[in-house]
Amino acid sequence: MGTNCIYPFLLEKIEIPSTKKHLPIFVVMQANDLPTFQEIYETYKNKVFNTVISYLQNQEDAEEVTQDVFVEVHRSINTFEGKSSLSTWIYRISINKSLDFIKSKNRKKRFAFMSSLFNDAGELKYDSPNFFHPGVILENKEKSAILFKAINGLPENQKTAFILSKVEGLPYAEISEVMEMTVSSVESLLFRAKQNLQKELSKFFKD
Amino acid sequence: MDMNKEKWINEVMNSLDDVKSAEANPFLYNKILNKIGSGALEYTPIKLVWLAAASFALLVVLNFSIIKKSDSAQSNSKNEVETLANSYQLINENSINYN
Repeated sequence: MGTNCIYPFLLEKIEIPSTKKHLPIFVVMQANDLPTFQEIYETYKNKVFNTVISYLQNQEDAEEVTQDVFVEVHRSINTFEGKSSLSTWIYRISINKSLDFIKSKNRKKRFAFMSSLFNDAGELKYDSPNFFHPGVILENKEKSAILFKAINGLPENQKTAFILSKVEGLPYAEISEVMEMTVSSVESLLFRAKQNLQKELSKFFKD
Repeated sequence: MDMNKEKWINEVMNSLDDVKSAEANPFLYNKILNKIGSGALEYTPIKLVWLAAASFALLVVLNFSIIKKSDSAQSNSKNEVETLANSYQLINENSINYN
């Protein structure tokens, strides 16, 4: 099954106890070696949470999805073939889980719109509350809340590229690996994302 | 575009500069373990699933071929009986009534 190929990629971050170095990592994990899974969790928890909360813009939802991400990591670790880095693989799971959650939430909103969510003019009354990212400095909190509202309206790929670049601070090369596209495609996505955001922000401007 | 507006939009676009990473709740790990079923990490290996599926498929094929054989055996035996009866002229489809 090519289990040995997992080893090198995990060694970048994880210190495998010497008594278990001869074992492929999935064997270690399937043997219920929780400390190994915990090491992965400790290494990546903030990256995952930071990515997820930027998509979902809600602390509770982000905690829920972060848990789902690590459950998936635990469940799928023995299928990880090491073709990408572990970090890239975990980012992909985080992004997919976040986007799935958003789609699911939007489906529920569409059901609810049948009832009392629309006013007489047929406009959606429900307005998502302002999201204040916990890592933003105080003087930027109000403006960043407006930016996150605008990010919400971006198409999925542009949103992903923007979050990975601006919030996670990933270099273009890493973003291209995560999104499985060329660096020039990532640059193009970011350019379009910025254009769309500027267009959207101009509607928010109050003289 | 109005200078103030452009300045404001740029400030908003740059509001995530120097953003620090949000930190996960320290209790999340225990919640994750609960979801996994802490300690009892028993996932069925995929090979076993394929083995079970292959065994089931083999069983279905064997049963099907046995049923098919048994149908054909019944129809053969019926043919044999008819052949025997015909050879002893026990079945006469064209009987003429001489009376």
